[in-house]
Amino acid sequence: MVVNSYSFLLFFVIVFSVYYLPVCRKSPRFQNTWLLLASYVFYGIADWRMIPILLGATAIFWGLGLWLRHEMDNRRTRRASHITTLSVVIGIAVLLYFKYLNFFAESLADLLNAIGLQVSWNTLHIILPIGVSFFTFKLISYIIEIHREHIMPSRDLTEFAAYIAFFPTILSGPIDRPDKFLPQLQRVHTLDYLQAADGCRQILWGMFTKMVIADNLAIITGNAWTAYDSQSSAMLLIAILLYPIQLYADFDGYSNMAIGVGKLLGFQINRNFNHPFLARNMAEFWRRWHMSLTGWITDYVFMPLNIAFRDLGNLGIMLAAIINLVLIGLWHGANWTFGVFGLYHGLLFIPLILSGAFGKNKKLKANDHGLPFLKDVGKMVLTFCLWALSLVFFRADNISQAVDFLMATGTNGFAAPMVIDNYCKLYILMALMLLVVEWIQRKQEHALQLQDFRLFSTRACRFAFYLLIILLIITFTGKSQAFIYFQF
Amino acid sequence: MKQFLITLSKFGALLLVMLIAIEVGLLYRPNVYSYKRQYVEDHQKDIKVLLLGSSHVEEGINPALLGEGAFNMAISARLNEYDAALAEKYVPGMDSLEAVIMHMDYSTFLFGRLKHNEQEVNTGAFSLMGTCHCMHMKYMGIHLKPFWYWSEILNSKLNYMSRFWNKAEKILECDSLGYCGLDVNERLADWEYRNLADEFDPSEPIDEETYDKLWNVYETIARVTQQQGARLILVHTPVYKTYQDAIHPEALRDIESFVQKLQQKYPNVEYHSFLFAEGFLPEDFNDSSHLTSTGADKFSRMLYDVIYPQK
Amino acid sequence: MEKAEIFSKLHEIFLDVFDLDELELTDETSANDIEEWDSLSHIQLIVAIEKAFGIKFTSLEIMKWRNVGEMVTSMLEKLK
Repeated sequence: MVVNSYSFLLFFVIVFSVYYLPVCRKSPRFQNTWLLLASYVFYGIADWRMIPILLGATAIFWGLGLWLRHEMDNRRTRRASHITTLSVVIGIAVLLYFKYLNFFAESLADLLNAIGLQVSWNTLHIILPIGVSFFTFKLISYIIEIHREHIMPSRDLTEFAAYIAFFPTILSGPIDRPDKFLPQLQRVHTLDYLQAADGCRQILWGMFTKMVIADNLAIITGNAWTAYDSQSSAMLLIAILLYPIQLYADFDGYSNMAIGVGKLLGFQINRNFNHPFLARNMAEFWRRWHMSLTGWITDYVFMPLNIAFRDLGNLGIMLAAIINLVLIGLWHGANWTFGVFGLYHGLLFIPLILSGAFGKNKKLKANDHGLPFLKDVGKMVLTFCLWALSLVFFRADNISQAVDFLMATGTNGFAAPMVIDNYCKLYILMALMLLVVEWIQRKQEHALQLQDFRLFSTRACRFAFYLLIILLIITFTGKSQAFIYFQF
Repeated sequence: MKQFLITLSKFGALLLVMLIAIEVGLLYRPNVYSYKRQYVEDHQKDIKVLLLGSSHVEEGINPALLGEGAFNMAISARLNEYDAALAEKYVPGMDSLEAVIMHMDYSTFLFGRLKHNEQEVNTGAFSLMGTCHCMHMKYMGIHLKPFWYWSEILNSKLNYMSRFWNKAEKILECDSLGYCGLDVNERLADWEYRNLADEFDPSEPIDEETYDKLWNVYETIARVTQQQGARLILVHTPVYKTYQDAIHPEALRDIESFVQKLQQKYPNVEYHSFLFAEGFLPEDFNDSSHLTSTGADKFSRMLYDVIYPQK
Repeated sequence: MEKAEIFSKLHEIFLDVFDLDELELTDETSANDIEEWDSLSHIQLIVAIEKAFGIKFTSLEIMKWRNVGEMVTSMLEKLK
């Protein structure tokens, strides 16, 4: 059940109504139980076969958390460390088994074949549990935070299970941390008008970027990628430059919808994006892109590695950065392309670390006309291009396809006609306008926080604007369907 | 909470007004469904040859080459229960009717006996079912589904909003006689492998429900046509050799016995299969089972001889 | 070593690592209070402190700290 569907709307109206009933508001326990039930129904609809795994992992880690704290209270630090290590291993093992076992088996088989050993074992048909990348990370983070004495373990299994299975974020994130999320489950939620209204606007904005911009740009880039051998270089170049915007509009859209739904239930969910295309170097980019994931890997991989390598100076930092980014790459999927993607970014950090620009968090300022400074624009464009190039590997099915695509871009020439009709021009224009909106609303969490604009000071104007956005969504959604229509 | 619900309701009311305005506005814009309905209602007494079916017929038979009084009422992505419903509604009033041509799609006549990996509902066709129900209900007055199918915003996957700013000629995919010709230059690179026949598994049992539904459709059309004293010409449209290779002889035999059973009850039914017809070149095909305009012209001329055989 | 002595030595290290002219250092001071204090300069800070005081922290200790106060508590234990 995708968030932008009628069935989800029905589901959510029911969840919302019961959640705020006076009887549920008598205690957090009642609200959490309802939330837990709703979350398992939601997850079950997505893939009911995985419920035992989610339930089992949740129960095991809840127990591990309590045991860990018990050992820490008794000052058995060695045993506490072992428990933490065990938990991390279990979490990673679950992730590796479901997400990567096929990949390892195939890669190993390829390797053995390459050195002459013929092996053929059938691809293990392991079902990839939906959301496994997200809930295993939540579970691991929980144990580590207990060990670092940043939180106390949850004594309430309902509360803990509700955190792990929280339906707005279980399928695609953002990844919430226990120290910020568990306290929110420990109080009763009454509807906060401002928060709920903001949530609605955030959902609307998410739907717009996903359904109007991302889904339509996907048609253009999809066409370029299907038959890249015969396309004009200009077309392929356009596809390379549009894909980052498409990916952002899609993922940010989904994240905004999830966060908006969370706000309607009174939860403040971790932010995932902070206007990444305003980044002036790759380090800043990674602080603005998929923040819940990069934050997780920074806190639990990068920082520990940095601390372990701290006596190696800059070399230690570079090594930690490369490992960090390769892991971020591989998290996305079981394919060497993601490894190359990560390595590429890790290597890009080297000049930043050497020049000292790596850790600097310079504020982004505007000139007297409210526009960015020219040299900042230059840096943003360069960063964007470096990102766009890496996404060729991200999107390709395998490394040779990525290389082929890049070669085709360089060598196909401009003879072939460009497949750009009026609709394509419109979508490209919308993509560019999105970048403009990103700049204008750079200080806001999402683009529909309009309190700074005089134009939107009256409710009538705001409502008209929202209706316009909905009209745009209705007009430009699902235009790809007309194509298959003529085949039936 | 109260304030939130009140504000939400106010916005919801405005939204509803906008949506209703769009739905009603769409009624006044041209589209192929209302055009074909209007044509048939205006020319009900004059139509001699009525063409029914889905994209294979809409794109494959040119009524201009079938003599006077021919009209192509087929529409892409149509489910055949609507062909039956339209026949029931309009054939009884067609005084000049001589023949109804209805298409038999090989894949539907497999009666659910598909090879296991094909059991998944073809997402393309499936996703357009809502559109089919909606457009036939809203514009052709055929009510086979609950009332919420009337809304295009809720059900239609077509580019309906563009009907507001496009001119009539661009909106209507067909010519004045309902024929929609495809240009061979616009076909895709992998056309030979698009829209192939579904893979037949003879060991699977016949799905009774599918069989009965199909039987009802063709029986209805045969009945109303017979009452009007006209012929029902069932055709398989021409297909390319990649499609032919996937045809299973046992499935064909089942189709033939289905037709024979129909003919026993309704002698006005004729059966002509052009699946292996000669004279069709690769340029005549837009994909493995749909014809381009040159192919449609060839096919239509062959059909003319079937309808009006030279003495 | 006394807490006050640690604090004054720390104060100098902070000024040096973060390249500041002045700074108010209390138990509650954390990365949120100093703009220049990010993950990288955090490492530089720790290396500088370990060097200046001749001590070595474990990774777990370092990751537990949430403010200067907790850091100083760890240091006090090591310098006993």
